[in-house]
Amino acid sequence: MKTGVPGKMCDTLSTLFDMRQDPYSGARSLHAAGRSILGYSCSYVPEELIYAAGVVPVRILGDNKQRVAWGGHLQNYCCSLSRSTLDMALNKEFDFVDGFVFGHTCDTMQRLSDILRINAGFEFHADLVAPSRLNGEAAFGYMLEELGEFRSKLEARYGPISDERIVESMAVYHENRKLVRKLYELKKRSPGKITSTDLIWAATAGYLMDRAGHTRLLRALLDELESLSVTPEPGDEKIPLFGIGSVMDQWEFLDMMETAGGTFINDDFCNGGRYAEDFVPGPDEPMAALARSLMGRASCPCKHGGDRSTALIDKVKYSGAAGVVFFLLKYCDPHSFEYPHLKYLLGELGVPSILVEIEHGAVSMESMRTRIEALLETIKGLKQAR
Amino acid sequence: MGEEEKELHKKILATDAMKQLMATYYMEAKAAEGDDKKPVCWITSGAPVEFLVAMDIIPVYPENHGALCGAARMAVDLAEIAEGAGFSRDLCSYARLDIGSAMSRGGPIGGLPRPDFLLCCNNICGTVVKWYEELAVYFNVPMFLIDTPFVHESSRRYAIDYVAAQFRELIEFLEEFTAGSYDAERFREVALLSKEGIGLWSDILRLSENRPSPITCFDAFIHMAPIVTLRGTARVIDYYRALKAEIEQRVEKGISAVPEERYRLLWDNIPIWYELRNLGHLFAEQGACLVADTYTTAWAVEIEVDDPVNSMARAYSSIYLNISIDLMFKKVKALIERYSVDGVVMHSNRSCKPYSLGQYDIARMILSETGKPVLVIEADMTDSRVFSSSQVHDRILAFIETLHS
Ligand code: SF4
Ligand code: SF4
Repeated sequence: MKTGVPGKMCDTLSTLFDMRQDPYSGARSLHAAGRSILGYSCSYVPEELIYAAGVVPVRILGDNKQRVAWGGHLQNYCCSLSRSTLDMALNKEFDFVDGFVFGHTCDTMQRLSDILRINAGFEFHADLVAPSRLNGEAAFGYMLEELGEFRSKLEARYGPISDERIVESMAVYHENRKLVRKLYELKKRSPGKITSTDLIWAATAGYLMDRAGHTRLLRALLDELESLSVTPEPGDEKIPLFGIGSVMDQWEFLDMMETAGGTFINDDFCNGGRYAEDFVPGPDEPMAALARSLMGRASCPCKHGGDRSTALIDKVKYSGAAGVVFFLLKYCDPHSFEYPHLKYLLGELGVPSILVEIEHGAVSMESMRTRIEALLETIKGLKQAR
Repeated sequence: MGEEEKELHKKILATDAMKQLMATYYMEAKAAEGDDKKPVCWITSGAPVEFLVAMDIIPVYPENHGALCGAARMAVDLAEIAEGAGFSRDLCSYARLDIGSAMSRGGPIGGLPRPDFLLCCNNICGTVVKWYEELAVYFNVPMFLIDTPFVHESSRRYAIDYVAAQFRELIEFLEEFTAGSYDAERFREVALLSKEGIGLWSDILRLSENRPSPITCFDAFIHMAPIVTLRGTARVIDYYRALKAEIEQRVEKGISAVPEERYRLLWDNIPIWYELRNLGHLFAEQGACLVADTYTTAWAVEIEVDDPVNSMARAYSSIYLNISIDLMFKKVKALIERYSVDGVVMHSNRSCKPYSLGQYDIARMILSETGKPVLVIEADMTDSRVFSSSQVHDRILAFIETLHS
């Protein structure tokens, strides 16, 4: 059986998948072509507003190079995403950006923002301190003001941003997330048509290029996949799994999991399934709509106020996954805190899970393979017992 | 001065009264467990306790309990219980040991009384939000979060308004929860007491400006418990009045906290609770007095009694752990100047990311802008498994040697 994006893959789509080798290549060429780019940290940075300023927001992901420069500024007990981000900045690998924007999420990112600004910052540096509470009108009012501050900061640098532009930009992003959602729906319907590596990458690539361009690629990809007929041979079906964690940027791990016989049918990674879960508010002033949309989306564990565990467990249930992989970055407090309870709830449901902890630059594929195989064996055993 | 007399001078006489005060506090809190009339609230160390005190709710501080367990060297056993339940060893050790204690009722006081609700304020860290969310699930009780936006440059007016609005929501929540009513007059009284207690505490800390310093930060770590746990009550004021008088007397008599004060140092971060005594001796033997620290001064918030809600919103939003590295450095620099210190000792505390990440940069700023040397030691406030005593002691001795020059 063929997996991945098979057959008559057109040039545009190979561009999409080639970019995985060098994630920032797209951003670099945009920069070379004269586009302004801002790097940003986590969810809760309003990409829509940056895009409305005519700037391409590019999310900073970690990489797997062995890195050392961070050591003079960060202790080793912080997550490797923050370490590799800082390291890349210190190495001047972000020469294609005008600056960075940090949205308020965890303690580590909050300090990273200062450290990066002080040691490797650009003239443009913004902290958008999103509320930690997602509920209540006071939090909404605050979010609105904070977004307004950020808008002024963008305007001071890039010129006025009209309300119309914000509305258009939001439409671009809503449309984009809708297509990512469609891709996930397709994965659920016909899991054999796309691997989880390609699925999550296809979603992630949107972070790294012009969003409207990404939408066009997603459309082409969906068309191509829809027209494909893939009938897995008996015994060739992969075991559907569900992934939970922050950023999933370990493509080799995903490939390994696919080879071992498992596939993520859905996930809660902030660059994958969680991102796809959009929130489109009712008619409102553009900035208010933006605030509502940011606060109404599926929540990150750094935020308080939505019932994240119930929503997440429902999502696992609905996905039809037979097992869950907690894929966490070592030293990530927000995700580690919720792990025991989520694991317990999954146990109640009879869904087995494993915990995989990684550090960028020190990933041991062997030990992960053993863990994944153990999970798959458990699932097979459970199936037989039924 | 004979040896015995020296010992006597070092010991702060009010210590016994403090122990008594804390014992009574914990006894009363534990007695309130299951008593419908006196709700128990678990509260984070930086949260506005004044609202609880004004409504006769008993505040209980898991962090203070964490320090207690750490000092009693019981933290590791308790943390291991939580780790066994799936909590990562990399999480804040206060959280781990408190969860372990809740699960086992273990620790020096047999665990904290069960909470009726939780009050969490993220002005110290985001960790407490996650920690309290898990407690809310574990105890099946409501949790109220006060979100104090992090200050990167300066406090924005609308951020203060947001915090003040949450204070008002908190009042409604408390009224509903206790079926009692909030009395603004009573609140003002409590705020006044709080202000007075904080004032006395600041005065006591400021007495270390004297040369020789009458107390060390190790003393401050021990005597801070009441200002954290009993802020807003009259008994705290009585206690700190007595303590202040005693320390003032030491100043008058020229009594030095360490036998011969040769170096004055500043401590950064939460104490290493299980090592407090050893470190105290080590520094004292070298004639090094830790005259101040960034931790105990964190409770020196300012409250205006005319406008307690708004002024408290401002004060609680701008405490040391809720501000950027640049702003932290400003505060450290002010302490360095005020207390005329010769060097800084930073505890890089793997439990506490908001306190520790950024220390390396602050250390560089200190060196370049004040010329004072900085020592960074790696440890954990209560998890002694990650602490290498001989290594840290050697580094401290080497550091003090460099101060000779
Ligand atoms: S992975 Fe975790 S610790 Fe790291 S930046 Fe994301 S939320 Fe923070
Ligand atoms: S992370 Fe730091 S500030 Fe937060 S509870 Fe732990 S020790 Fe306290």
